[in-house]
Amino acid sequence: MRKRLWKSKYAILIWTVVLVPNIFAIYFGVASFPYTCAPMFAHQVNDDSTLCVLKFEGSNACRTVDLEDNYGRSEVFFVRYFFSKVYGSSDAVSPFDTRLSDDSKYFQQRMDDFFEDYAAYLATEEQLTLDKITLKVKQVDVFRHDLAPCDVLGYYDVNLKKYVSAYEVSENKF
Amino acid sequence: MSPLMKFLKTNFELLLNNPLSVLRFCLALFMGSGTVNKLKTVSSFDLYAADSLSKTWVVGLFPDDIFLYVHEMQGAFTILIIISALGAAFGFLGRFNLFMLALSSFLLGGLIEGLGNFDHNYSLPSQVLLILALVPGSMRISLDSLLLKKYPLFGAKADVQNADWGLHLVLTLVVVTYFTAGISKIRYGGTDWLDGSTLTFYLQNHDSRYASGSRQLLIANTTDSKTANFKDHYGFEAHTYGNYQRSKFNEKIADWLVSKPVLVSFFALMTLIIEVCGFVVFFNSKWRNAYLLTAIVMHTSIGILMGLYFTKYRLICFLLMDWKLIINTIEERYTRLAAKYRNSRQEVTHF
Repeated sequence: MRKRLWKSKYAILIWTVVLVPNIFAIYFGVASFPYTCAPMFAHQVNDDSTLCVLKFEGSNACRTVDLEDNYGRSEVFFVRYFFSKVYGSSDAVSPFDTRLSDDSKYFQQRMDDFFEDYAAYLATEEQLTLDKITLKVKQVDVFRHDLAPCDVLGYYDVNLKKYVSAYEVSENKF
Repeated sequence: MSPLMKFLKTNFELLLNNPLSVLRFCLALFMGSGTVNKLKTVSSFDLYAADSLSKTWVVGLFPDDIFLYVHEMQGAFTILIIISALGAAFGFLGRFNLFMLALSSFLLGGLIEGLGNFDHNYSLPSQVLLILALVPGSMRISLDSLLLKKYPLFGAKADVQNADWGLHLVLTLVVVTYFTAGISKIRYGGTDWLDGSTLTFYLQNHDSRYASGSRQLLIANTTDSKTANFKDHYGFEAHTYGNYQRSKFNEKIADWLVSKPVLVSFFALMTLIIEVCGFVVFFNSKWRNAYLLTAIVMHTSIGILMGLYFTKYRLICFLLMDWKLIINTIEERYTRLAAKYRNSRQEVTHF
C-alpha cells in the first residue's frame, strides 16, 4: 500500500517536472530550448505584409563598410540571434524575445552590450577598427526586390559605447 | 512451428510488449548522432558568441564559461556523448546515460539557440530522452535488466514494471507539442492564417538562393500598435523561417501547389486540424494509430515541400503506434483469408 502510494507520488512528480515548463512556455508564448510555444510558420505573411532585411554598416574616418561578411556566423544565425536575443519582438511577450517584459532601459542595455562585444570582435578578429556601427533596415518583397531605400534604425558609437536609437532622436542627428 | 520461428515470434512479442525500450534504443542512437553534430556546430563558432544575452533557461543553470569548455574540449565531450548514447541505447547504466544524453542535448540545443537557431526537430526528442530516463518500463529490455536479474546489486531490481503512465506521458508531450503549434498559428496569424498565404510564402522562401545580407527576413507590423514601441516605427514581430528543399523535382511540386491557392488553403486547414486534435490518441488504440500515422504523413509532406523532414518526430510517432493492434489485425485478416482460401480449395477438390 505504502509502496503504491510512493509510486503514484513519483508519477505525479515526473508528470509535473515534464509538463509544467512546457505549459509555462505555451501559456506565455515564449521559447527557451527545449521548451517552446512552437511558433514556426505561425505569423501571417501575405501580399500586404511588410518584410524587411537588416543591414549592419561600419564606418570610421576613412571608410564605410557593409558588415554582412563579418558577422562571424551565417547571416541567418546572426540576424535571428540579434533579433531574438538582443533587439526583441515588438510584441509584449513573444517567442522571439526570451523576456516576459521589456522597457527602454533594458533595451538600451542589451543594445549597448551586444554592440560592445560585436565591435570588439570586429576589431580583434576581422581587423576592422570602427567609430560607428549603423543599424539599417530595408523593405523588400518575398523575392528580395527592394521596395524602399534603407532606413536607419540607430547607430552605435564605438568610442562612447552607446547605442542611439533613431526613433528617439531627431533625424538630423543621423 | 520451427524453433527459429518460435524464437523470432517470442522476441518479436517482447519488442511489441515493450515500446518504451524500443523507443529508448532507437532514439538514443539518433539523438547521440544529432548531439555530436550539434557539438561540432557549437565548436565551429567564434568565442565572442558566448554572451549572457544568448543564455537559455537551461544553459543559465550551467557555469558562465560553459561555452568556453564546450569549445575547448570538443574531443572529450564527443567521446562522452558517444558513450552516453551507446549506454542509453543498450541500457548499460541506462538511466544515468539517458539522463546525461538528455542533459547534453538540452545544453547543446540551448547553446545553438543562443547562437541563433532554435532547432524544433531536436527539442521534443530531447525531452523524450529525459522522460525515458525517469519512467518505469523504459529499461525492460536492457543490459542493466539482464545483469540485475542475474546479479542483484545492493538490492537494486531489474526494471520489471511496464506502467502505462510512462508511455502516456510521452504521448501527452507529443500531443501538447502539436497542440501548441496549432494554437500558435491562430495566436499569431489569426484566422487569416487559414487563407494559405503564409504557407504559400514558406513554399517559396528559399532563403539560401539570395545573396548574403538578404536571406533572413523580419516580419514587421507597421499598422498594429499593440505595444508602446520604444525601438522603431516598424514593429518587428518575428523572423521568418527558411525553405531548405534543394531538389528541383520537389521544388516543382511546391511551385505547382503555389499555383493552386484553394489547395494550399486546404493544406493550411488540415495542418491546423491535425495539430489541435492530438487528444484523440487517448480515445483508443485505433485513433492513436490513425493520428500518429497522419502526423508522420504531415511531416513527410512538409519534408518533401520544404526540406524539413523532422525525422526524430517521425521516429517517435512511428514507435508510439500500438503495434500490437496492427500485428494482431494483420494476423487476424491473414488467418481469415487463409481459411477462406483453404475452404475454396477444398470446395474445388470436392467438385
